[in-house]
Amino acid sequence: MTKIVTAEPLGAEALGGDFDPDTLGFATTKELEPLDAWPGQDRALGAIRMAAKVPHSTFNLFVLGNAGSGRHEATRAELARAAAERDNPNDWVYVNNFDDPRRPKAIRLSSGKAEELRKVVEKLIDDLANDLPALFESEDYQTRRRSVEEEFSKEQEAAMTELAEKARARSVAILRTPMGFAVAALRDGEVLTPEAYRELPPEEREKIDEAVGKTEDELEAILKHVPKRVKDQRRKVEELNVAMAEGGVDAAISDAMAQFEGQDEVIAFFKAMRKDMIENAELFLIQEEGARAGGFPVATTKHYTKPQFQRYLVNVVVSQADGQDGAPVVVETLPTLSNLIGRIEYISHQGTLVTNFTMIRPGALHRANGGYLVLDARQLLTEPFAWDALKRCIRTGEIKIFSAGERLSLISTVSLEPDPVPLSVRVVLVGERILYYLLTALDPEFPRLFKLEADFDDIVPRSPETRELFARLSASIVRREGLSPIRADGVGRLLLESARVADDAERFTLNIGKLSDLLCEADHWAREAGAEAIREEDIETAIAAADRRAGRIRELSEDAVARGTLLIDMDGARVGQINALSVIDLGGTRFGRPSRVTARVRVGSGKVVDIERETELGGPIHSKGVMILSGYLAGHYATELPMSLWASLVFEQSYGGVEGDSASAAELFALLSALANLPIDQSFAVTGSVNQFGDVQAIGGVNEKIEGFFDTCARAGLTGRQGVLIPVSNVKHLVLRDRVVNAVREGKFRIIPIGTIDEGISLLTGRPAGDRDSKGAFPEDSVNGLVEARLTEFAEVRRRFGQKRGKEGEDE
Amino acid sequence: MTEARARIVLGATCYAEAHSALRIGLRVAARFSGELNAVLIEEEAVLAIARRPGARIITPAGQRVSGIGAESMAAAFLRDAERFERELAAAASSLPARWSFARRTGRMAALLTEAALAGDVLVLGGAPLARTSGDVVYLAGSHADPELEAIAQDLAADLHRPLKVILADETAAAPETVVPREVIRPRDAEALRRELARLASDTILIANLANVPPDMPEVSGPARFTRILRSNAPREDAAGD
Repeated sequence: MTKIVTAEPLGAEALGGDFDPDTLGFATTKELEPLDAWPGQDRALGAIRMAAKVPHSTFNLFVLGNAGSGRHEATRAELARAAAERDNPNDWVYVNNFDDPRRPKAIRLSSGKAEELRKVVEKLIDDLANDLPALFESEDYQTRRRSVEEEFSKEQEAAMTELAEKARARSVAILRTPMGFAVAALRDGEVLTPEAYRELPPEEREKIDEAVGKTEDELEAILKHVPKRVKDQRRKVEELNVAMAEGGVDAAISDAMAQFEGQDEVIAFFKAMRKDMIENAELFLIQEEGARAGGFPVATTKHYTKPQFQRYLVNVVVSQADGQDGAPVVVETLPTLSNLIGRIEYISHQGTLVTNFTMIRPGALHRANGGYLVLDARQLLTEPFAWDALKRCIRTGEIKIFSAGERLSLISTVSLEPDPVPLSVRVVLVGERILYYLLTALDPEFPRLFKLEADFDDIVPRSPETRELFARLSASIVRREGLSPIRADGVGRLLLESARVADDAERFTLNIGKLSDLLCEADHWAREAGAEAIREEDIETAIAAADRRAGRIRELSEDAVARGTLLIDMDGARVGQINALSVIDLGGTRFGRPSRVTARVRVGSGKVVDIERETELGGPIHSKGVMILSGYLAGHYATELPMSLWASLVFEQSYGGVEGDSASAAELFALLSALANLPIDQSFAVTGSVNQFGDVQAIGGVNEKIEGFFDTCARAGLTGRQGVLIPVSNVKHLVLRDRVVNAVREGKFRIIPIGTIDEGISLLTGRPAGDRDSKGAFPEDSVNGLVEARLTEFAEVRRRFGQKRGKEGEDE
Repeated sequence: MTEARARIVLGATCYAEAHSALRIGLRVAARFSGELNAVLIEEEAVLAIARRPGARIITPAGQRVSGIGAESMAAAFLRDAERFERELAAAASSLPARWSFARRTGRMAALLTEAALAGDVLVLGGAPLARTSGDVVYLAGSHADPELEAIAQDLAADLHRPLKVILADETAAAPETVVPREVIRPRDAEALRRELARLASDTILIANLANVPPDMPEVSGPARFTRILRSNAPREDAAGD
C-alpha cells in the first residue's frame, strides 16, 4: 500500500480517475459470457438457499439490501432453482357445502386434478340437464304419473260427476264462486233469484231448500276428502319423482366417481351432490325459453353455466399448470389483503349483495402454497391488514379468508366462512435494511416468524477478479435490456463511475439498477452517434447529461457566490474565517458547495457557543463536533489555567439546518485563527472531522465537496493556489471528475491530505503549528504558542477581573 | 290487406278458473300470435245467490260458510280480478302480443256469444279440485277447423296428455291432422252430453262452436273443465286494415 504524504498536494494519479481498459482483455462485452450469478453475495445467497430448503414454517426469510442491488432477481432465481427440485404441490378447489352453504368446503387434490374434477362435474351437469328432462318426459314416467294421479282423482271425479247428475235431477246448480262453491235452485235452466224464490209457495220453497241442502251436504262430504287426497297424491308423485331422479343421477354420477376412486374427499363431495341432485331434480327440469329454437342443439349447450346449477360447480382455487415441474414461486407485486389471502366477491341482486362459494377467489398464499412467496416488504407493510394477515397465516399454518370490511364490521350482508386451507409456504420478504431493523425492534412476532436474513451488499472490493465479474455483469445487463454491447473503454469508464457511486476508489458498486440506468442512457448516445457499441465517451456523455439535468440548484448556488450574494473568499487571508464544505443531497443528485465559517473570541467562562445550535439550526452530530473541539482546546492549551474563553462559531449565510461533523475541523481552524490572531489563507477550503486529540478524521461525500469548491473557484478563475484540505483517510475515496483531475495535473488546483489539526493550521496560516519543547512550552511564534498565550492572557484578565469584583464587594 | 290476427279472450269467473285460462291461453296466444283480452266475469247468478238471506258457500276444503252477503262476494270478485290481472301482466311480458284486462258483471254465456260473433278464440278456465291429468279432448263435427285441430295436437304433446276425439254427430269423422289415442262416437246428443259430463275436471276441451249441438251446458255453461272455443264467424280486423 502506498504511503500517503500528508500536508503535501496529491498527484493526479491519486485521484482515482485512471483505469487501463487494455487490462480487461476483450474488445466488447459481446465476447463475454453473461453472468448468471451475483458476485460478492455468497453470504446472502447462502441464506436464501437455506431458507428454500429448511422445512420449518417459521424459517421465513427477509432479504435486505439497497434498491438495485439485484436482490429481487437473485432471490427469484435461487428460489426457482430450489423449486424445480421439489414436488408439485396439491391442487385446491372449493365446493358447495350442501348442508351449510355458508361454509364452503375446501378439497385437496393431487397436482393437476382440479381442472379434471371441474370438467367432470360440468359434464355431469350437462348430461343430467339433457337426460333428466328426457326421463321425466318419457312415456314411462308420464304413464306412471298419470296412474298415480288417476288413482287419487278417480274416486273424487266419480263422486263429483255423480253429484252433478243428482243436482241436475234435483234442478239445482253447483256454481264456482271466488269464495268457494255455491248451490242454487234452477228454473228453466237459470239460477232462481231471491225475488223469484220469495214469490214461490211455501211448500215449493221447502222442496227447493231440501234439494239445495241435500246437495250442499253431499258436496261438503266430497270436498272434505280433497285435502287428504291431494296430500297423498303429492307424496306419491314425489316418491315417483325421486325414484326417477335416482335412476338418472346414479347412472350419470357413477362414471364420475370412478375417475376419483380413492380420493375420499372427492367421493364424499360426489355423494353429497348426488343426494342434493335427487332432492332438487326439478332444477334440471326448468325449461329455458327458446331453448329449442337456439342456435345450437340442446345437447351442446353449456347447461352448467345456468344459475340453477351453480350449486354443483367446482371452484378451482389452485391448479398446477400443465407441464409445471416443481413447486411454485409466486411474486405478488401488489400484496393487498385480498391479493394475499384471497377474497369473497359479491354481486348485487335486487339491491342486496349476495355471494356463494363460486365467488371465492384465491390469493397469492393459495397460489404459492407448497412453494415460495416473494413479497416486497415496504409494499406489504403499507397495505392495511396485509402484514397482520400474513403473520396470522404463517402462525396458524392455514389460509383463512376474511375481508377488511368484515374486520371493521362494515359489511352487514350474508357472507361465507370457507374452510381454511392448510398452508405450507416459505415467505420471502425483500426490503431495505431499515425496515428489517425496525421490524426486529418493534414487532415481537417478526423475529419468531422470519428467522433468516439474507443481506445483499452491493459494494465489492476492486480486484482483477471482481473487475472481470463486473464486466460480465455489464454484459448481462446490456443483453437483458437489449442494448448495444459495451466497448472495453466503456466498461473501464463504467467501472470508474461505479467506484464513484460507491464513494470509494478501492471498491465499486454492483447496483444493477443504477448501472442499468446509466447504460440505457449511454446506449442512446451511442446510437445517436452511430456507434455499434457503447464507448467511453457515450458513458461520459450520459454522466454529464444526468449531471446537467439535475444541476439547476447547483448552478443557482454557484451563481450566488459568483454574484457576491453568498460571501465566499477564494483568495486573500482573514482572521477567524474559513471555507468549510457541505453536501446538498436532493434525492437523485447531490453536490458540494463551500460555506463560510467564522469564529470570534473574547474572555469568558470557557464556553464555545455554537450559534447553529443556539438557533436550533444545528443537528446533534454537528453539536457533538463543536463540543469535541472544545475538548481539544481544553486539553491542548494552558491546561493548568481555567479555561477563560468565550467563543462563537457560525455558518454564515446558512438559513437551513446544519448537520454532521464534517466541518468540525474547519470550525477548529477558524477558532485557532481567531485565538492566534493569524489570518487563514482563503484559497483553501477544508473538510474533515476532528477528535479531542486533534486527529482529522474521515468524512462522507469527499468527491462532491472537492468538486463543489473546485467549480466555485473555476467560475471565478483558478489561481493555482486554491485547493481543499481533506482527511488523509479520505484519499482512498477519491474518484474525482476529469475536470478536477486535469486541473490538479496542470497545477491549477490542489488537494492536500492532512492527518492532524497541526498540519492543517500550518498550511492555512503559513506558520508552523509548533510543538511543545522540553519545558512544555510551544514556540512563541508558532500558532499553538500564540493560541496558548492568548488563552493565558484571557485567564489572567479573568483572574484580575475576579479580584476586582471581590474587592468591590468587600468595599460595599 | 293483411290477415287479421286472432284475439284470444280469456274468460273466468274466479281466480281458480283464471289460473287455468291463463296457463292454456298463453300457449294458444303463442301459437296464434294474437292479442290477449282477459275478462273476469262477475257472474250474475253468483251475485244473486250471495244476495239471498242466509246465503252460504262451501269452501274447496269442505267448510260450510254462512251469511256471506253480496258485499263480501263483490270484494272476493275484486281480489280475484286483481290477482288475475297481475299474473296476466307478468306472464304476457314475455310475449310480443298486446294484452288487456277487464272486469264485467254479467253472464259467461254473453261473453261466449260475443266471442263467437267476433270470431275470437275463447279460453274458459276450468277449476279442478286437485291436480289430475285429464285428457285433451277435441270435439269434431262437420265443420273442420284445422287451427283448433293443431292446437289440440300441440297441447296434448306439450302437456303429455292423451288426445281424445269425440265426434259430435253421426256425419263427423276424426280429422286427419290429429292422431288421437281414442275416438268416441256418442249415439246422440244426450249421449254426447253425458260423455262430456263424465270428463275429468282437468280436461281441456277444444271445440268449434259450429260443431256443438244446442243445449249443451257442459260446453256453453259453467263447466268443471277448461274449454277452448271459437266459431267460424269472420274475424274482426284487429290490425285495423
